[in-house]
Amino acid sequence: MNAARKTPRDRMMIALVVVPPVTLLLFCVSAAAKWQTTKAKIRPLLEQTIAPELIDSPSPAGAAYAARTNDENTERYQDLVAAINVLNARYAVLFEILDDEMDWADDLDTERPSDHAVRDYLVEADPLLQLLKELKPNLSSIWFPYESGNPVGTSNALIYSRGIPDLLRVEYRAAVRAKQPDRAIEVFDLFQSLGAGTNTLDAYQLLPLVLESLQAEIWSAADLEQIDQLVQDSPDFDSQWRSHLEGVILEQSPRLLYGKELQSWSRDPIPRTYSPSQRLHWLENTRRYLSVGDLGTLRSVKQVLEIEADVLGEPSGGLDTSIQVPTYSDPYGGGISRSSLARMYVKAANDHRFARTAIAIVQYKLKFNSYPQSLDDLNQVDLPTSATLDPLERAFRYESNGTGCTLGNASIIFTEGHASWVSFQTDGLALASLLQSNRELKLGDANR
Amino acid sequence: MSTDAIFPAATTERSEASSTAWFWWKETRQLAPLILLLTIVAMLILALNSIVAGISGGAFHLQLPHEVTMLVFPGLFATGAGPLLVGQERAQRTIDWLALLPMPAKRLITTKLYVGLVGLIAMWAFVIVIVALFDLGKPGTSPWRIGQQTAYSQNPLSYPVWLIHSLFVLISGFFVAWKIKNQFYSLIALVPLAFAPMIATSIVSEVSNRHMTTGELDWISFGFTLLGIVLMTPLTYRAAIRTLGPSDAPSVLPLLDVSPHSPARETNDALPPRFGTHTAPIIWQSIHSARGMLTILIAMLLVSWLAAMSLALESHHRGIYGWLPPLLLAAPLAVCWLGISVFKHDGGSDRIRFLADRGLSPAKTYCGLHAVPVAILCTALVVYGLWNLTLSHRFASSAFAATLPTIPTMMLFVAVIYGVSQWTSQFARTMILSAILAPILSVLATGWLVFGYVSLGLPMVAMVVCALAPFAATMLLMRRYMDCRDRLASLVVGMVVLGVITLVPIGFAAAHVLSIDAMSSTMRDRLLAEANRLKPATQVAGLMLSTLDSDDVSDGEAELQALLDLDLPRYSIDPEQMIAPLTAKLAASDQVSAQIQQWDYVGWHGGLTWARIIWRQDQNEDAWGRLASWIDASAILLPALRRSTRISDQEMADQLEVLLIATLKNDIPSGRRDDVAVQAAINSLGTPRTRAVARRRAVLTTWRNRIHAPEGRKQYHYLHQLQHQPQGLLPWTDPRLFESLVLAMLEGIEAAENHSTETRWCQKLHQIHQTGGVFETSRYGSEMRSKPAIQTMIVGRINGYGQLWGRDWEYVDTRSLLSSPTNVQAQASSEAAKQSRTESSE
Repeated sequence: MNAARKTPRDRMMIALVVVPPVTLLLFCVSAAAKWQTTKAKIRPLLEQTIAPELIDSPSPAGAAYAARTNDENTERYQDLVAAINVLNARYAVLFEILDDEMDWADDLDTERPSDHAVRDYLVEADPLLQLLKELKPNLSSIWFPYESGNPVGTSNALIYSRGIPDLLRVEYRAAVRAKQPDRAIEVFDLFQSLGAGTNTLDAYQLLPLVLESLQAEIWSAADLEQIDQLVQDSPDFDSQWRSHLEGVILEQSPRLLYGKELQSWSRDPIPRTYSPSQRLHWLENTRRYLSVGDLGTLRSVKQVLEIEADVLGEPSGGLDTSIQVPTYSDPYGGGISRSSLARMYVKAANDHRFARTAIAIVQYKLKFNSYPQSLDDLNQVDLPTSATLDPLERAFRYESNGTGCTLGNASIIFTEGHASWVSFQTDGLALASLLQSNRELKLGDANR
Repeated sequence: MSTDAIFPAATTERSEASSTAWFWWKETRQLAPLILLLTIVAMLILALNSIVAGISGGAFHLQLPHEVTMLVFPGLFATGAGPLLVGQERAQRTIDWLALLPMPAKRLITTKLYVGLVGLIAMWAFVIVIVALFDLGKPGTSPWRIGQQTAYSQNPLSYPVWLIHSLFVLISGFFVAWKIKNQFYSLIALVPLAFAPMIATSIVSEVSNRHMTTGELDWISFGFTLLGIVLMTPLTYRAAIRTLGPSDAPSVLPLLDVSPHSPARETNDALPPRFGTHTAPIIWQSIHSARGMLTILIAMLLVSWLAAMSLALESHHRGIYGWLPPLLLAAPLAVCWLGISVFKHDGGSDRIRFLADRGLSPAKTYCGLHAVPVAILCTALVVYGLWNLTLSHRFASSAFAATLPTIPTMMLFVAVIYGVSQWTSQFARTMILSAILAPILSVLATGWLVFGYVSLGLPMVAMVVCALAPFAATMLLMRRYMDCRDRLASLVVGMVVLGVITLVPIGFAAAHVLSIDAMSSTMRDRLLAEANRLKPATQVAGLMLSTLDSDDVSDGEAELQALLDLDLPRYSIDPEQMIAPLTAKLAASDQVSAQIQQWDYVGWHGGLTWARIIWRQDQNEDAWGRLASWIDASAILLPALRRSTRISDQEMADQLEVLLIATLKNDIPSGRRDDVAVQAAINSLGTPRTRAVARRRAVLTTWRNRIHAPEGRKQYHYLHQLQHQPQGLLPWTDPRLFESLVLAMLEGIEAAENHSTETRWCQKLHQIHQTGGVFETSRYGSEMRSKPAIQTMIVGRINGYGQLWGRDWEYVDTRSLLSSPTNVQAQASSEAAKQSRTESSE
């Protein structure tokens, strides 16, 4: 071997073995640099969504919660919930029975087997109902100790248990059966003021019961107007959507800023790191969702789905994701799926329109002493035609025989005595399945 | 022409036995290292499993020496036997010497095969003994019957299929070794050949129109393997006879070819390449001496990458795509064999000796040998990293892509596999031995380190140390290896490497366990002695609030109505009725303690609260009677709960006492102060001292029971920190964590008793119960602790012990409770509420 001057062949051979490790090293160094630069971008973007003083608190979500609630009524609210839970546990069977009673508003003059137990229940519940009316709780009036940022922290929720909704449902039912519309409207008003979220289960809602009660011939025009107003005044979908997403961002800020693993019930035993790119991506995408408006419309669902498709399709991180440990995955989704939530708003919007149409039908009946021949006739009770369409712009199903009528979702077809479903394939949005699960309402003597 | 024809005299004159006994001995010695090493590795797997089971105390079920793991060993032996007995002789050209011996070629071929067969039988005997001895098989199944395998069995093939498959691999191994002179190429050719019966079986199952059971597939595998043996045996014999026969005469055609003598050829090929440095020629030599091998290994990496690309795009792996996941294994195998190529590629030892003779330093030679494989691996990692930049790693878009390891993880995997393989190739004498041993040892090392990372909390630094240990070993031995005097040293250094890889994770795990703040032995003895002196609760009354279980609720309106009519009175929440079991026992002895479940306490708390609400709204005699009965019953329950030796009962007692104090403070008007129930309640309240005694007794008794009594071990005590502990170390960390909990609780009890402002115990308890959480916003933080306890307590649920200790309610003067101004307010507000209700009803 002659150690003379380097020949091109020397250079080539050395380059052959030196270039790959150097490239790998450069790759890793660039990834580390990208890690640092991307990390610096997170905070300014986060500050565009939440206040800087909240970001710096040990638990941003906890600080935000403490800032918007007060603890004036906490003790009494907690007392109320504890007592209602004990009472309702005794009457668990009664709730089972009432859930199955679909025709409870049909004949108010005949005693039903459950009426006796309902009365007993309400006698016992009376002090609790009084306290509930006194407190008139809503999301911002209650401070419920919230261990935000802790793994087994108990979070605030007015509808923390089924206790309060169940009590109000029984009270509403009893008020209607006792032919006391004012009492019933007061309960509906109280329920609406609780501010139950759109993603709350049907069983926690009062609106289905209100619709069923329209069959009872106890309502005056003024009562119906009040109910209609309460339905219209229900919380604004856009602000609910925004506050949900902002809440999720608040909860996520420790992870976004410091890559800190968020606490959950079951912990992944593998130590992991999360690259700033993935965190920044998540924040940018959530901010994109924040810009979606007109929740409850088909357009909003389409927008959300478009964003979701983009998010799923794009590479999940930048160069820095290459050096997170141990895998490329970003397991965190962050709360309920955005498209599911957007669909729930559509369902809620459908419920509201359906309720307003049903109320208008009863108003029409009061005014003209007969049921409208078609939903267009509801113009005469000041319900615009647009309100008789579901969020997919399809008219609700309606049939009338003069002495009775049946109102159903647009996806329902009426057959002999039974309603069946039509499958609507709306761009794979699966909205039909949500809207199908909605109701069919019979008013008057619909079956004759 | 065969050797039979050349040495007819020798074959007839000599006695067959005497002529081949030495040959048997030679062949057996040649095969012995393979058997020995495989046996050692199998024992190593067993030992590793015992270590894992020992560390995790059975909590972690690795079950590495599963039946299948052991059944693979005869197959591995079969893979190596042919190349070792034939391939090695051909590579070292000793086969030519053998061919010249006065022995028929047939005898030579069959003896080698017979030695292989005997070795295979020995391996099978060893494996069966291990399976039987360690009870690895599935009891209740009959693994010796073909077609009896079930889909849920972990072993996909019956023993006869395994058996004849190993025979098939043995014969195929001989075939490729006779057929192909290059050892590495013959090994590469053997891999698809060995899997041929399985591939044929899966093709049959694919083209058949119906679903096949595991038993049927077992039969088909059996058939194909038998067919393979029938086909391979004559082919092997023919290949062997041809190899042992004289070589063909050189063709005259090249002599007539003038192109080698052309001036252009002269300038290009006749002159050796010229280099100006010492390093470049080693690299050049590395590439040119193992060009074929490197090409194959790069191809394997590419195949694996292509398979990964398809898997990332395709979510359903059916039909031909079913073979994609196994193809991924080509990459680790290629990395492994790249490691082997460092010291044992074709002509590798000659080359190292050549470099040693030229006086090249061991360090330079070491770097030169590693340069090319490392460059290939780095290129592969860069390609992998760039490819991943184009992928979406979300589970929703590709579950496969989401699980792909990142560059540091991949580098660590590569380093461990490559490092262990190059180390194996240095101490193993032959290439075939290295090629078979290295994948097993790499898998073992990787598996152990992954186990360490996931289950023992092994830090990355320790992983890097373990990954670098084999490199350090080979570097250290390089000089001796170059001088061919590394035999003893390689054994010693090998043991050190093994020790580092095994003991470093154990060392880190031990350090982690010891870092948990447990009791000192004197403290433990003292506290245990104190716990043993405590009198156990002689009589215990368990309280159950009868609430309707959701299981009781059945369908059917009539049934439900009947249930409602009949059962409502039964589920009454009369406090006297609820504590009836306790009062009955208290009549006999006033030392009876009460136990209450957390959910039952919710009922009690709700019942008393409900009575308070009624009383606040309308202070009539009925309402007072109801409230008084709850207060009275609570006055009986509270001391009984305090006598309980369970921590959970002390927590419930704290909650009840907080509620009782709030009731006495806010809801008792001056006119009711002397009521029997009120006085009983005041008397039932504890003092910081009595509470401390009760809590200390409960804490120590629970701890002692957890150590000694079987029922104590079964009791569930929520320690969130256990979730944050390496799961493989739980049997070691759990008792120490519990001790640290006991210490923190005792500290808290003392602080509460002395009304101390010390918060260290709060931080400790928060750390144990809400590990990783935010102390400031927790129920242990000062903000929450400064609020009234009744506002912040979670009724009927314990998400951490001691959250109510040492807070204001503990130091309330019981005598001043009833003179609180809030009582007057309560009375006034009640009257106002009553007034407003009367107005509204009017």
